[in-house]
Amino acid sequence: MINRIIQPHSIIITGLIFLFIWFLNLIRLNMHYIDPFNNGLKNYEITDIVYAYLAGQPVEEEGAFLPIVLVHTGEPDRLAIGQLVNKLGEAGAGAIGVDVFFDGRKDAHADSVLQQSLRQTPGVVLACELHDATRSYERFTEWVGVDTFFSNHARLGYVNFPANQTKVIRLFSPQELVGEETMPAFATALLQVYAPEKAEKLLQRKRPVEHIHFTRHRTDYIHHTQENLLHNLSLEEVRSIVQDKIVLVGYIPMEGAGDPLKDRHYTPLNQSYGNKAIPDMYGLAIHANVLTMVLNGHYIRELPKWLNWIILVVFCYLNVLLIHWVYDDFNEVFHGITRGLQIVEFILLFFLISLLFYKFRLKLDFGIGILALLLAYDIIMIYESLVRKRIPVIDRIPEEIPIRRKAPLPQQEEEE
Amino acid sequence: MRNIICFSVTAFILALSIRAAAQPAAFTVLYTNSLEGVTFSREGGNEQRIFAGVRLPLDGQLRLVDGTQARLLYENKKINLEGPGLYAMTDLKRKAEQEVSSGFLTRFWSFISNSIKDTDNAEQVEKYHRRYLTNARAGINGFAERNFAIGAPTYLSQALDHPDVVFRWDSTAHPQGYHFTITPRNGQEPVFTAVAREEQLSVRLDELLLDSSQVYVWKVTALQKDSTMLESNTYPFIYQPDMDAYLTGLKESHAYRQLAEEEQELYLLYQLEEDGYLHYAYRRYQELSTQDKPESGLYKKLFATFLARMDALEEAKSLVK
Repeated sequence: MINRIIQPHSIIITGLIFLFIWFLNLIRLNMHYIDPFNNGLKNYEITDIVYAYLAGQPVEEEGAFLPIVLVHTGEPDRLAIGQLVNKLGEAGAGAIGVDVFFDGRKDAHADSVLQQSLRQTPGVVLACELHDATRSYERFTEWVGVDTFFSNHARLGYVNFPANQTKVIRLFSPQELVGEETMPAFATALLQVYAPEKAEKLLQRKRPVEHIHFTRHRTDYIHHTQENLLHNLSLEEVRSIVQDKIVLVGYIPMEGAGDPLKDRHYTPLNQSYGNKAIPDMYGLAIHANVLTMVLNGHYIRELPKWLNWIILVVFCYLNVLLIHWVYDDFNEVFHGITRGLQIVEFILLFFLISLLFYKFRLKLDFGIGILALLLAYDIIMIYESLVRKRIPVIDRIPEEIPIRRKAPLPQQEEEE
Repeated sequence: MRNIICFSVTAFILALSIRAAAQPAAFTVLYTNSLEGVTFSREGGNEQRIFAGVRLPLDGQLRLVDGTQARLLYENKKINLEGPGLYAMTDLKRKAEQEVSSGFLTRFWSFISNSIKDTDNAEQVEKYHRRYLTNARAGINGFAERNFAIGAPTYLSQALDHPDVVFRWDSTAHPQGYHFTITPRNGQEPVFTAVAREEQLSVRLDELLLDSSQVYVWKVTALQKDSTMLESNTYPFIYQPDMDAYLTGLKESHAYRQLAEEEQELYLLYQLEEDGYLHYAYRRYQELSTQDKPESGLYKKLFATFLARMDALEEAKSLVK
């Protein structure tokens, strides 16, 4: 049995496949401009399809209601935001996140009102931006985006998200070093005010970045305009909406209104998961998704890298064994069987990965496994028809590992 | 011991009945596009405005005037509503419960089968471009209102309560007569059609068996000699013959009771217009302005401004003259 599973040529082919993938990876690193496949797919993950097409309605924990309210500022006016923060504070908001940069000083009256409201209202988090990473990318030298006139009276949280040039936001970093001090992300800072134990749990995970579990569009949250809360609703009415909730204030117009590209970003919820789509989510909704994930404790789980690699290698090797066996025993119909096998396996694999992610939020990094599955057919062909025939040393390697058989026992001989 | 058991049973029954009477909130309002014109009322109770964040119980009804929208959440199912309309919460609950969200397997299969179907590549688009021409459009809708050849007063829209309504419209050439229709807003087949020689038509709404939770639209067209068609805008309305609950609620409201008698009438007129009971307000203005009372002059002026707001300028002018 063992000599059927451990076959030297299949091991060599598996090695070649991974070598080839490593070579493709080199191309990605150094010559991406001649690699259209990679260019098209570098912002794509299988789990994007789960987000965009397979996820159903967000499900609340039984009896719980999401304590997040989104407030659209329109063109942000400092005076109005100051008054709004005051009203929200009076109405008993649990935490207030203002996702608006207050860079420099503008109008003296408006600035004073805003500063005063920040002084009077505890639990306000202002947005800032991290700037200038050090050469080793271990820390940032400074934060920008808020004048000290305001930042001295409120907590700060940075609103940067790690993303490559395709700008698809999948990750957030809970905290970063700025100079010698640790600065929380915008969502982390809000959690530190609203639910310190949840923030602590998040930081205790000690992950430099967390995958964001996107579950909601902006239409799934309670949504108000600044105008409504400030002028059209009484304090009592505002209290009924925001008391003991996290209020996120920023640019988040409802559908059909406002600028559809302002502070809007690509996320895995985008149904056009290739390139060249319209950004699908406002920054404020991304913060809301991060908060939802941490408040519900629905983090994305990942396998340890070593386990992931073991699964990949075993998967690739089993496929090589299977395809190699088809090549040896059913040579005439090899192409048809192998291609059919690949399609069926691909769909099953896709289903399994999607199901694991959907049900258990377990993210399997199986891109290399799928590539190995696709390459196995061609590499076996090349190996059998070219490599083995041209390199006699390889051809002399036996098909199976010879297993030494023990000498028959004397008793057995007697029996015979 | 017996007393303790009796007390416990009574307390349990009491707790159950309090719980049943309390009716836990079932709906959450996620969004409304306006703070005016979206109201909730329980049977016999006052209308209260609703806004995002409010939780609503199951007993009651929601009213949206024309142009308003609301999004509710019921057991993780979103319900989008558009005005004008009167929605019983129990109906909304039933609709939400009937809505079966597809399972993971169904969604997966749908994705795979669509992937097999949607395999169009760039060459196919080039070769059969007309098949794909309606998939994308570059341009936006203009912001101006369309001009209709036949105008009509807007007090004949939104909530119509009277069983016999005289629909009116502006005069235009009508060699074949005016063609008047009432159609469900989301339907194709008219529930009422008539040909009128004059610029008005009396319709018995109570004989049409209209559904009070359904929005209807009325429209007038006039075929011209050159076979072109002149038409009016479509005017949405709901037929809501029972105004008693609304009026009782309004008259019992704190704001109404605080006012002096003459102010109460003005408040009533204002609130009727705000809440979309335009035809009722129209009749009330008519009644007050023709009374033989000293204040009828004031009501006449108010009526004229109301008519001006209702796009009935000619009627307003004739009143002022």
